[in-house]
Amino acid sequence: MGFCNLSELEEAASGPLSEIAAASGVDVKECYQCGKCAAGCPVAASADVDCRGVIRLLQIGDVDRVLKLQMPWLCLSCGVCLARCPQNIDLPALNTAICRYEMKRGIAAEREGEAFMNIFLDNVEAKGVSDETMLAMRYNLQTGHLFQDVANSPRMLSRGLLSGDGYKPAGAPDVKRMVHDIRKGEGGAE
Amino acid sequence: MSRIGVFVCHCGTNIAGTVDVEAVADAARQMPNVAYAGTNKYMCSAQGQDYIVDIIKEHNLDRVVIASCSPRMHERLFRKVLAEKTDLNPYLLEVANIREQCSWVHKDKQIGTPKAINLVAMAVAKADCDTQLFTHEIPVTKRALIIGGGIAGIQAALDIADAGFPVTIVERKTTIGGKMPMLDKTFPTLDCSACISTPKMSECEAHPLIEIKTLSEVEKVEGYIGNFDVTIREKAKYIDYDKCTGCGMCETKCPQKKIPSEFNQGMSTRTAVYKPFPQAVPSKPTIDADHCRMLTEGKCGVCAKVCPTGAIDYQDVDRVTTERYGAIVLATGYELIDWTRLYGEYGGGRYADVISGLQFERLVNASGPTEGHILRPSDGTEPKTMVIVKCVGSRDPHKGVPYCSRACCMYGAKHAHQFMDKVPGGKCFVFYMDVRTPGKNYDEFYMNTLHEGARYIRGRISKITRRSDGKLVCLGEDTLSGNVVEVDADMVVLETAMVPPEGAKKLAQTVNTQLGPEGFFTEAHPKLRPVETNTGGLYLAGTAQGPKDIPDTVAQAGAAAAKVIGLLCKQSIESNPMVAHVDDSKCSGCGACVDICPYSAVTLVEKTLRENSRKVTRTVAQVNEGLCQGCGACTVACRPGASDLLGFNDEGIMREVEAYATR
Amino acid sequence: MRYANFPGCSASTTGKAYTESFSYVARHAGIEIDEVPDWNCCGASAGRLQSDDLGDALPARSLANAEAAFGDEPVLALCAGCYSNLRRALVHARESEDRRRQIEALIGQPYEAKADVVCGIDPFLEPEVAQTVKARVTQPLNGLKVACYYGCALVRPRALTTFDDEEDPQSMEAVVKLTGAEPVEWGSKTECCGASHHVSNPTAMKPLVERILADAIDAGAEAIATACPLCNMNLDMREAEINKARAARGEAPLDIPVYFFAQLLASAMGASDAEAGITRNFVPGSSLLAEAKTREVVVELTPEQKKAARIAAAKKQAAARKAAQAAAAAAPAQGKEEAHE
Repeated sequence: MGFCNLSELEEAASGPLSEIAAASGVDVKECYQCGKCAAGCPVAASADVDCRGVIRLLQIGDVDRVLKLQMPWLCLSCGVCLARCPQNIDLPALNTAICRYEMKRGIAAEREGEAFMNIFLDNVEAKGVSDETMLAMRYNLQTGHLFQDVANSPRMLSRGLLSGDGYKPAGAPDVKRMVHDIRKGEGGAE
Repeated sequence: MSRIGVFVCHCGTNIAGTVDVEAVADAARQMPNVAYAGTNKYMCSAQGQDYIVDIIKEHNLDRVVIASCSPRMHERLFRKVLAEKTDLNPYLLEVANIREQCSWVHKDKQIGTPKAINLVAMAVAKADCDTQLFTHEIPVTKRALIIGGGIAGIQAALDIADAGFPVTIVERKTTIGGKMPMLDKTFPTLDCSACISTPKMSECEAHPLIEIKTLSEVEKVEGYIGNFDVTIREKAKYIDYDKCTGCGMCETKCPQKKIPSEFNQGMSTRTAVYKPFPQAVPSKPTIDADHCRMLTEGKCGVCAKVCPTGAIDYQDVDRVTTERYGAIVLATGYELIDWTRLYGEYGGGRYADVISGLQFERLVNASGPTEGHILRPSDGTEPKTMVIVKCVGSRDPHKGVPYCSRACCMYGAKHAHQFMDKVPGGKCFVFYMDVRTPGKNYDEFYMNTLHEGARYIRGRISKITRRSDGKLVCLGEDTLSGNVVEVDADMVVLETAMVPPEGAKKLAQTVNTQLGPEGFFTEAHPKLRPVETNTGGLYLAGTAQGPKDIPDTVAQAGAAAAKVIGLLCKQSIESNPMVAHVDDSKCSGCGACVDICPYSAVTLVEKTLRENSRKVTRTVAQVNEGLCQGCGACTVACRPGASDLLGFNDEGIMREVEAYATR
Repeated sequence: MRYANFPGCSASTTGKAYTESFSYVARHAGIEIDEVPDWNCCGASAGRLQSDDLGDALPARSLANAEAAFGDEPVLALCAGCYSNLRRALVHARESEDRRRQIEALIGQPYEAKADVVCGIDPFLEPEVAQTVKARVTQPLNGLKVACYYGCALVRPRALTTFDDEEDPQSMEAVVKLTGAEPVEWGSKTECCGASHHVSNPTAMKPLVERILADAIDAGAEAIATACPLCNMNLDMREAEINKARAARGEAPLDIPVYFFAQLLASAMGASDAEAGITRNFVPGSSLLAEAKTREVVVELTPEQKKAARIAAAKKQAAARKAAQAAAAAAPAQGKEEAHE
């Protein structure tokens, strides 16, 4: 709960709001806050503010608060919200747009979410495929979750589910260039 | 050379606030053919009318342009002034709309004034081409047809018949009454729905001027206001109503007993020969041809054997009749949206204890399948926790309909009240988006329900699953606290959207009128002509026009009846002279106008014409002036330019455009 | 039917059992598989989070490779995540010619978006394939109660997938039925398992899996069938952790084996546990299938068959009655005749 001056918020929010709206194709005015999205959302109960709340904060122009929320990073893009929304609002696209907006400015509210994405893409850039073992190890190292899923590793190993040998060096050079260029913002230059 | 008078209205400050009316009058004086221009504070007032009349006489004017509000507002009034107080033909009048389309949409005179001058210039140019038009008298057939026998149709029929005009009610089902007798109690007074609707049904049956045709549909409508020729198909009932006494012997003995009862919303069964409920009107049974063994398999014949009067007639056939009516009221009602097709998240109809509001009405009704005890359809136990979900289908453009169904907030509150009244200690959760109670004593009723203990949760249920212990697990969000909430309910009632009935589109084509985007019949004007349609002689009553509750439905039915009575009182009516006219010499008989006419007013006929001083017989288009509504579609479609709209002739329109373009 | 297989990164790790069982069934059901040459990671959730371009380019590159090698042969993606990403790129390329050209520029090769993208269940919805599988089921899983779990990526969003229903899909049920198993109706078949967030946000994700397992058991299921390596791992591998937590809270364990639907098909078609990859399952899955195979077959008659049986019984009864009447009629007549004589 908090206090905000709506007249001031309106002014400050218009820039970020229109950028996020344009990137996601979502018009937050469409939402009439029925909460059918949040009620079906797998992460609503564990989020700081649920998906309906994210739209509400955007509606009143409290962008600062939105950019500090976990919720956009928690979104699994499972699509339940969109499937049931009476107004057909693409919440996964909205959440993605908010995350991208934050990453572009280096203000990701969830460092770990950004870290996971980057390690994953480093991996793909290097190998063309995603090596799940490497991914988990590097992620745990970098984020300090040293022992996460460690208990499962021997069980996975014994079932032959951690073999790193299955990977063919898929399309290495051109995948590397493609991923690199797009991540640097230079992809598709004609 | 015509002598045109231009009269510019101030409309108080409505026009004068953003249009310099004196400047308009000054400009008008410079326009061709203008013999006089002046202004008045209120042109529509008695004093304003006198001013116009005096000036016409004084300046010997032969055309009049009035620059004021929309012609839909006062054109008829000004025509009447010309007709009654001057020698001018009332159609030598043009109205330039400088209010709705000018002063109201602009903020300053810099823009408003030149635009008003343009509009006046165009009207002046057109006035010069105006010709005298004459109406003629159309006789009125003093009978009314009501399509749909629900409470709207019944009310309209009774009001019209009580005024002394014969009425026919055409009803698709086997009884009149519609949905109202199915309801238990009506909000906000909680009076018994059947107790107040079935007496009206019997009154219809007993009324000497009301004829009821059940199992009937309108197949064809020809003609026009005052004279509609209507073809009605009365389906075979397989029972001779002249012989049937309604004793009910056939129903008792019919061996086909497992047919789901429509009246009880599938929660009980009925026989193949049946009367949907005891107070049905006509109070005689019908054989359901789809389920009768005699009619489907040729075996059985039990009802014929037991009938004491020999009324059963398996050879009965449909009867098709054509009769003439002066007016038609569309009272076709609504249906509830088929939520089972749309909402998989609510179980899509797989859970017996997720029911519609109408099913709840039957459950709580003393004449219903459980004799008024609220019992779960699945196991017959009494639910202790009930969830009501509002806006199922309504306000859901994604899966359902975009509009609000208007009555659900109130009957939802009523259902909550009835549940808590009948189930002591029962818990009722109402999931709502908004609570809309803008009726007399409505909000008081809602507040009372809250005080009785109904828990109102602001949020939509996202999903319902059925657990093995029979509980319906309802997941929603309480948007006011931000908590995701779960209710383990014993029964769930979905308050579903009202939608147009099946066949509305076809009926709209049959009677030549329009449906709105949602599929309800469109009124002529949402505020000023709410019970009329754009087709003369065709009126709307009840939910055929859009979702509404019983008080509004009955009020609208009375209003439609008043309009019908007003029409039927007249010996004859004046035709609208602004209709299409075909120049036979130019018509090639191609029929393009016939295809495009939305009112079926144009037909091709063989005519003997004199061409180049020879008699030739050719096919040409002919306009039925009673049917033509003056829309002008044919004049656009006509390639040789033979079709023209009187009052809006091609030359006049072109002169208007020219006047604007050359300024 | 031939498919261009896009194995995806999990094919040789967490989805190994899916790969093995699917290959077994494919071999025996006349489904021919080509591998997409030089494929690369679809980007999972990271590619599309980074940008629309990366989200489309990664899957489109593999689709373009498939198209170059096999033309419009449908691309098969066993992993639901891969399926969703490949379909997204395909739909975007088909939606607008501009976007298709942009994608071509991003991946540096032509891409016509001709070939369809299908998931692991789709080949079995072809009537001929279903027929073959049915014919090859030699060890039916008689009456095994199976909860078919779809998760999200197969069924949502509708704009990308072409699945039968968002809330209550039935295609996996139709395929699982071929084995003689009985799918149960349940409410959590399209709830999300938590996907890769089990790595970044495990505490919030555990309840999702717990609810899915509990719902399946509550609906009377003896087993869960999946069609995605990630869903499968989240349900199968994490069941033990969840049960440990439940034990600490004094709650009964949720014991239910989790199979890839292809494992059920393979096993019913006679594959050994090793061939069907069942030995790789975390929750032991061998004994339940073995037991199901020994169950007595309950033949469920269709309404038409029931009616026919009823009519036959009634006819038999009528015939018997007639015969008895005839005999009764004959007896006194005979008696009379005798008396007459």
